[in-house]
Amino acid sequence: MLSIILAKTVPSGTIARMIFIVENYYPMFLEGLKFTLIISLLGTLFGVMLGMLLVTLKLQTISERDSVVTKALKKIAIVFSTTYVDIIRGTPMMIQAIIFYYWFLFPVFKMGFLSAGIFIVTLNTAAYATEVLRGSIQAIDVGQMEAARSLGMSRKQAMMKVILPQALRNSVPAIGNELVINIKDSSVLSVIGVIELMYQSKAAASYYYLTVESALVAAVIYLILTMSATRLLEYIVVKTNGDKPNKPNVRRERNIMFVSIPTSQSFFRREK
Amino acid sequence: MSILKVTNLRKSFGDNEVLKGIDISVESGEVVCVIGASGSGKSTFLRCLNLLGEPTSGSVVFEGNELMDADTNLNKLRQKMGMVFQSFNLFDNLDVLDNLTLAPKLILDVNQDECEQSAFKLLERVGLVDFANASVSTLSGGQKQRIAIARTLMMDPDIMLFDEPTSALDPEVVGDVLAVMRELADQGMTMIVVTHEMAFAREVADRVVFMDDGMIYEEATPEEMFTNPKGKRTREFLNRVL
Repeated sequence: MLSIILAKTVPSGTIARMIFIVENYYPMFLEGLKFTLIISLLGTLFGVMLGMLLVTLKLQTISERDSVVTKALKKIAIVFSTTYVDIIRGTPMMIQAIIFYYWFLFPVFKMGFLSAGIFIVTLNTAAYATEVLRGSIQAIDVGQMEAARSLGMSRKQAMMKVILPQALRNSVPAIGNELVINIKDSSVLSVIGVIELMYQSKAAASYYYLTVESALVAAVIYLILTMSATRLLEYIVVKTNGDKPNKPNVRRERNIMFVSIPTSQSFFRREK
Repeated sequence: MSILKVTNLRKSFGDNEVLKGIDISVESGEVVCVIGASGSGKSTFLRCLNLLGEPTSGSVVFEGNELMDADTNLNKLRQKMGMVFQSFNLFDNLDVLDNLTLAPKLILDVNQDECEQSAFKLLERVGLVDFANASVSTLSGGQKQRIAIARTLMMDPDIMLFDEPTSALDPEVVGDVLAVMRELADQGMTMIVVTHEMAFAREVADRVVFMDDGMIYEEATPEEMFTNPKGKRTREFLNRVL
């Protein structure tokens, strides 16, 4: 009886019900939005940083002039980064979230939902960013490295001052692509109870069984987020290439990762 | 004593032996032009001199240092061996001035002002001082190559290696680049120039080397090489190109 008295009248019609959901549960959606944004932004940022580290490991070249120890270390670096990328890219993020969180992030490190979410998105982004950066670095004309080396610069100096700045600028579209994907894909973190947008939308749906309407509200919010991110990134790309007469085609470059990953998985961005 | 001494230099790509034992020594201040047909190994030979291409065997001694030794500090020696490429290879992420100053600032113990001063001096020398702050992508081929030469000179090299420096240029700007090279030669720079510019070789070189099939087939003074070549293949080649 009590519940009947407390319950509000649910309007009919999809739009009216969506408005009803927003009116009643907007604080939950705002909370979810906050977590989604924090996780996808920080996850992308840290992921790209980790990716830069991994790609340097992956692109070690073993020379005849190296000592035995150096050769072994380089070999380990290459095998490690390759295996990392294979495993992370080859398994669904949802499963990784469950395994990492319940195996050690929570029991061993007592990690909370938010940091666990950022951690998992970071690991994933790093794997993809490694491949994006590898593609961009290898796309730089070898003449750039040769010119730097011929002047007496070490391989590391040439990388830092000549190759990486160019490769990073060329990677901006693909890294932006990662951000957009992370905004959407952080939704799988709801399985470990991260109160991001998806989790909150399910919670809001449960009070009046307005599953479709609640999902629609979440979808609209996701769409606004991803579209804003896309437009913002296009603007940044155009700005950074502003002084170049032959600026690269933004739309084509956004697909850079699809050509830079030479495995069958390149056709299936994260399978869920 | 010769500044560069190459002994029995060999280089293979897989089973394909491109350099089949090259012996040459270059004196300080000498200008050596290397001519020969495409695929004769000229560029490979030049790239082996600073080990951008790793020789399969042989010896390259520069100013008394054996480059093929594993414990040789290659980076140090390369500073003194400038190289100019067919495709310029200016750093695309930097403007003209930074292209010149990047390596000296990183490697040599020079301060910013000093470095920029010598950069401007060199830009003036190659006639491009107005382009100091230009972006590389706005330059023409001839301008790029002159900037590339200036960039190499920033390291104050003892020898300069030119790998077909004018082959990628429009005919009307080839002269600008050759003029800069001629001036360098006149000032006593030691130069090894792989080139198809026979007139330049004839006029500027102290010695002309004709390469054929991965070997030095004939070497002579320009006068002799171009008026009275001894070998049959040299004659054939010169008949084709002159």
